[in-house]
Amino acid sequence: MPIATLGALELTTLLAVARLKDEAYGLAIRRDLAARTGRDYSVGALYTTLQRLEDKGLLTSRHSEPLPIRGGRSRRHFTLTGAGARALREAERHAASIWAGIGKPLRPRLA
Amino acid sequence: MPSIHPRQPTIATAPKPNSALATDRALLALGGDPAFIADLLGDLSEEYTYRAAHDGVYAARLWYVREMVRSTPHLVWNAIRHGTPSARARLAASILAVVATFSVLTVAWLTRNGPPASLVVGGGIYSDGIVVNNLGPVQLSMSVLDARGHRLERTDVRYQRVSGVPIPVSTRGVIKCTRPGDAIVRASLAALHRDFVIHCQPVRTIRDAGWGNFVVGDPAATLTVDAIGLDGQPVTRIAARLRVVDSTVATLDASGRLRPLRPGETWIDIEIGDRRAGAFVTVYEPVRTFEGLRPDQRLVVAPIRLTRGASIRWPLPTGVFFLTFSADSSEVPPTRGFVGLGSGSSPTVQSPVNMSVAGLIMCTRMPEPQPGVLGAYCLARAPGATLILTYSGPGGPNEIVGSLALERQDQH
Repeated sequence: MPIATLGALELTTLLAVARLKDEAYGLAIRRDLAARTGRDYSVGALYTTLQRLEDKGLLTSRHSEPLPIRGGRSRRHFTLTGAGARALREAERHAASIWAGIGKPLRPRLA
Repeated sequence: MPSIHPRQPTIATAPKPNSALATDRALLALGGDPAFIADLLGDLSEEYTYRAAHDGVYAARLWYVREMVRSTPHLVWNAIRHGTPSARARLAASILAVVATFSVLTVAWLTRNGPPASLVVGGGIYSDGIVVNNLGPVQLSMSVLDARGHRLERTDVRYQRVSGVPIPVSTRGVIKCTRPGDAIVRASLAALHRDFVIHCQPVRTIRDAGWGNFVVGDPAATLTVDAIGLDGQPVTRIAARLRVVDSTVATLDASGRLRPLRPGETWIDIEIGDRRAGAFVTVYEPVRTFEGLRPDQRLVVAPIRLTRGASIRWPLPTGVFFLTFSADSSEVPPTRGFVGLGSGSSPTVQSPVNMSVAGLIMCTRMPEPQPGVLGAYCLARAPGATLILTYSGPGGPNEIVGSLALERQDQH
C-alpha cells in the first residue's frame, strides 16, 4: 500500500486499532485518539475514516451482540488486516526516512 | 478536550429506545448506510450513558446534540455515497428545508422590532426641530425607533406645548402656526419623552425666483426663493420642497443648487408650507457663433465682445426664433457671457448696441425687460438672413461684453 494514500487521521486511526487489538471499537478508538493527539474527533469523522480504511482493505470488522448501553445496537470491532500492517510498517519506514539526520537539532535541550 | 472516565457507570441512563429508533428511521430514510448509522448512534448512546452518569443528564444532552451537529456533514456525505436516487432527493429536500427554515428564522430575528426606544423628530430642514411654514393646520411627524433603529408603526404618540409662542397643539400632534416664533413641544410615548422646537415661520406668499436662464457647463447655482411672512418681511427659515419636472434638463441637489445638464426647458415646482410657486428654467448650449447651426440646436448662446464702432454679421437660421442680446456689467468676466432674462444679476450697462437684420427675414422688437437687454422675435423665410450687431454708443466703455441667445420656436 503506497504511503501517499494514508492521511494523518487514517494513520493515527490505524495505529489506534493496532494498539487496542480486541478492544478496537468506535468509542475506544476515539478515546485513544483523544488521549494521544489531544484532538476531539467527532463520531461521524471517525466512522467515515474507519469505513474508508475498510474500503481500502486495511481493516476488517465484526459485530458484537446487541448491547443495552448502545440502545440495543451492537459494537463493531475493527482488526488490522495484513495490508493494514504493511501500510503501518511502510509509514514507519517512511517517517524514519524523512526524519533521518534532523533528530538532534530539534530535540529540546534539558536544563 | 473532554475526557471520559474509563470505569463503568453505576447508573444506566441510555436514551429512550423509542427516540433512538425514530432517529435511526429518520437517518435511514435519508439514505444513510445502515451500518454507519447504527455505529454512530450506538457510540453516541454509549458515551451519552457515561457522560450522564459522570457529568449529569443536562451536560450529556448538550454533548449529544453537539456531537450530532458535528457529525451531520459526515452523515450527509455517507447518505450521498450510499443512498438511492429517491433517498438522495429526500436528503436534498431535507437540506433545503433546513436551510430555508434557518434563513427565514435568521432574517426574522435580524429584522424583528423591539420596544420603542427613541423618538426622532422629522419633517423639517433643521436638526434642532421642525420648521413649519404653513398657515393652516399641520400634522407633526415623529418617528418611533426601537433600540436597533427600526422604525415602528406607532400612532399613540401624544403631544403638548411646553413653552414658547402660544400656538394651538392637539394631543394628536396637529399644530397651527398663528404667529411667527419658536415653541417647545413635548412628544410622549409611554415612558419616552422628547422635547423639540417648532419653528413657526408661516409664509403668506412666495415671490417667483428671479432667475431662469442657464448655460450647459456652468457651475451649479443656488436657487433663491423669496418667501414673505405674515408681517410682510422675508422668512429666513424655510422648509421648501422643490421638484424639477424634467430632470434630464437640470437637477437640484439636496441643498437646492441647480445644475444645468442639457439644452432644454423645464419647470421647477416650489412648495413652501401650503403655498406653491414655480420657476421656468431654460438651459442653453454654448456656441461660438450662429454659423452652421444644426436644426436640432434649438437653444444656443454665444459670447459677444464688441469694441466701439465695430459690428458683427452672423448668419441666421430659417424659421421662427427669439434673439436676445444681454450686456454684461463691466465687472462680469466675458466668459460668464450670458445674463438671463429676469436674472438676479442684472446688467448695469445701458445697452448701446444696435441690432438689425438683413435678407428674407422679418423681426419684431420685444419689450426690454431690463436695461442692457435687446430682444426680437423673428421669422426667416429663406436661407441667407443675417444679423448685424453694432456697438456705436458714444460715452460708453471702449468695449462691450455680452451674450447673444437664440431660441428656436419651430424647425423648418
